[in-house]
Amino acid sequence: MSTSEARLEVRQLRVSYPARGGLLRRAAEVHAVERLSLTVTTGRTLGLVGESGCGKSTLARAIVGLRRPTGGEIWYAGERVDDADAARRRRLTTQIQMVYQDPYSSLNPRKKVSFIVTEGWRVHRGQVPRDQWTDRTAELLARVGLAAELADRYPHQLSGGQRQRVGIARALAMSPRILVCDEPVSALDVSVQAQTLNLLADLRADLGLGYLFIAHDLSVVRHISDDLAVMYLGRIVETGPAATVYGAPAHPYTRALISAAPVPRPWAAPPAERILLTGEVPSPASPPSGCRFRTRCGLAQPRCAEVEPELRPVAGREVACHYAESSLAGGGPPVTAVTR
Amino acid sequence: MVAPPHAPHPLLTVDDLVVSFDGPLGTYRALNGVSFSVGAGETLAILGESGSGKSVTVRAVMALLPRHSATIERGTIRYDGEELSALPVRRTRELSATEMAMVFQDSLTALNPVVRVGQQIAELFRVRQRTSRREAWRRAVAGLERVGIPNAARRAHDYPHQFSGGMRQRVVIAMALALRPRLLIADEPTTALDVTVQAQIMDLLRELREADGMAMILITHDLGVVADVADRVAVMYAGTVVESGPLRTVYDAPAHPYTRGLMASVPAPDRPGERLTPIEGMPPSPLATPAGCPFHPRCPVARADCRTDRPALRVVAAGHEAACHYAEEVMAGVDVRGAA
Ligand SMILES: Nc1ncnc2c1ncn2[C@@H]1O[C@H](COP(=O)(O)OP(=O)(O)OP(=O)(O)O)[C@@H](O)[C@H]1O
Ligand SMILES: Nc1ncnc2c1ncn2[C@@H]1O[C@H](COP(=O)(O)OP(=O)(O)OP(=O)(O)O)[C@@H](O)[C@H]1O
Ligand code: SF4
Ligand code: SF4
Ligand SMILES: [Mg+2]
Ligand SMILES: [Mg+2]
Repeated sequence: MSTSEARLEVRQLRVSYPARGGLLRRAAEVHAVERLSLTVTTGRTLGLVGESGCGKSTLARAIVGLRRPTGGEIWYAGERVDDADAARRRRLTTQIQMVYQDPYSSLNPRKKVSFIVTEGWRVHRGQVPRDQWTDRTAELLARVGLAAELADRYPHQLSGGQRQRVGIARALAMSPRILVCDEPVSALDVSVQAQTLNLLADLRADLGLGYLFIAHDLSVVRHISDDLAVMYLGRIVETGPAATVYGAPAHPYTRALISAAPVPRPWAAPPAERILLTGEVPSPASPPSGCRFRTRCGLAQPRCAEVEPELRPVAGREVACHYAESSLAGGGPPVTAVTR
Repeated sequence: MVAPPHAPHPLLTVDDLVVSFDGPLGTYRALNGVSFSVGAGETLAILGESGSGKSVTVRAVMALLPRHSATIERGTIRYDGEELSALPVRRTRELSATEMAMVFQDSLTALNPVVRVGQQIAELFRVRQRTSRREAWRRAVAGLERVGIPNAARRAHDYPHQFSGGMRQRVVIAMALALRPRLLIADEPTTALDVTVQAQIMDLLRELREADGMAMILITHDLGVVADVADRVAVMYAGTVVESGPLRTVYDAPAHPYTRGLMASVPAPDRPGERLTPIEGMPPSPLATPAGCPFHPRCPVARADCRTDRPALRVVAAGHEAACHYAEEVMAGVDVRGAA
């Protein structure tokens, strides 16, 4: 296994869906991901968080080639991935694999584990010679902590955590360098979740995998991430080292997000201020002018409606907010704040 | 919030419930003697392993188990003094339409995609309370307002897909609350939502509960959410309740080794990246539940009699029950590997 560092770079990516109900306005589009840039490095984890519907899964699908971007570029190890010809693309995309949120619906219920794990080898012929399939499958199952006899089972005969391991084994079968994990532990109880997170940490250490790790549970993201990116309505609003962003969030949206995270033992923690967001999430079909967060931001000024803030370095991370410095200082007119 | 003392008059009591499924692999027990109760106005959280029977339990209460494959073999479900399992399914359904309501994880499936949301709620008033069309619509709009949908009068005309995930979950809650149920059952109502929307929905449920004195059963894997809203906690493992008690007691002084293991699995917020300590081993297959204590193959403090004698749920302190032969030692913190 090569352990040289490789990078997945997403540059100014745009991914669109046709707008619904626009019979007359032909070719109307919703940009679910808009001019988004990020880098995932092998051996490291980039955590990605953001509001429901802000475009995280869309981004993930574009990265693994399940949805064609409508703008921007995706590069892997110095080669452009998104416009590569079919053969080259296939070779490159085996190195970037996806683990899905739902271990129940992402596995074909009519196929045994042994078939599911070897699926990629059927598509990408020559990846693993046929006579090695049995041995390699056993190796993969052992690697993810599943007993060899589980190879003969169907998904419904497995527990949630076992199914999630099968999903990881299927991704590992292609010997990827990068795993895009879309909420891989959301449906699992905390113990199975801990097993899965330990497994991902081991794989990262042993195989030098790089992760793009999408999750809603901030304690999980915090636990596994080296770096953090926060997304709002198709764009990244803050990104930097996880400890920096989590410890002292600068973007008003990041502040609200982190303050809203429930803590397991609130009575053992110092009383925290919870920033409540009011108003509805704007539709990505018609994002607000200027700053996309301004309709819900307690710090918004007239300028926020006119000029869209771009990411810029502030205190050791990058933030897309005109007033990041005052937000970081906890200043400005507060967003509706309540103490719990 | 002060937890009410162990409720004198339970609204719902489930006693020794046994449910089996006829599957392709033969008949197996999903519930193996589930017992718990919920008092009027009380919030009970059900925690537990993926696959331990949380959803099957509440579906049994709501008479929503698949009729062709599920059998209630034993046990009673008593609602406000009436024994539901003795009533015809039709009467239970009627009760469950007016007195009890349920919110599922996936709000999309709960709504009819081709009917305006206002209409879907109005229908409930028309059918159940025989109100006029106009009055039903008025109440539907009021219901949407109550759950914090901005511009409810206008939004009532929209179809489900025109709402974001969080707003749609609010619509489902508005529908569940329309007939002012005395008991709301919420099965992972916020698992798919980001923490800011989750916080809004939990605040909303708390307010409604305080205003109406509604009782609630909340199923979630998120220990922080539980800590935020629950008065009491029941913990399930392998088709039984293994522990129940007041929130802080169960969190800070658990009496069952499984509960201890769960609590110890949570990532510590101040030690990101540190190796997690999940419960060792795998959950038992429902086809082969171990003899004796179902947790014994994974229990760090198991002794010889645990392999043969099944521990019953018993009172270990006021309002605190556990199904473990050695609960007193566990509470006292005697050698439990992996415990904090
Ligand atoms: N197939 C599709 N057709 C049209 N619109 C879509 C499609 N898939 C997603 N969208 C829209 O694109 C936006 C981004 O959706 P996406 O699933 O990427 O969000 P997400 O960040 O993964 O949300 P969640 O946290 O709820 O999973 C949403 O507004 C969604 O409604
Ligand atoms: N319709 C069904 N037919 C057959 N078996 C079922 C059915 N529904 C649930 N089961 C089985 O019953 C057991 C309990 O399932 P249940 O859905 O109650 O688990 P849960 O505790 O809600 O888990 P999770 O946290 O993953 O949602 C599992 O072994 C499951 O496979
Ligand atoms: S740019 Fe303005 S509206 Fe946007 S986050 Fe900063 S202060 Fe708020
Ligand atoms: S009864 Fe025995 S095996 Fe079961 S939880 Fe208690 S100590 Fe462990
Ligand atoms: Mg998603
Ligand atoms: Mg469930």
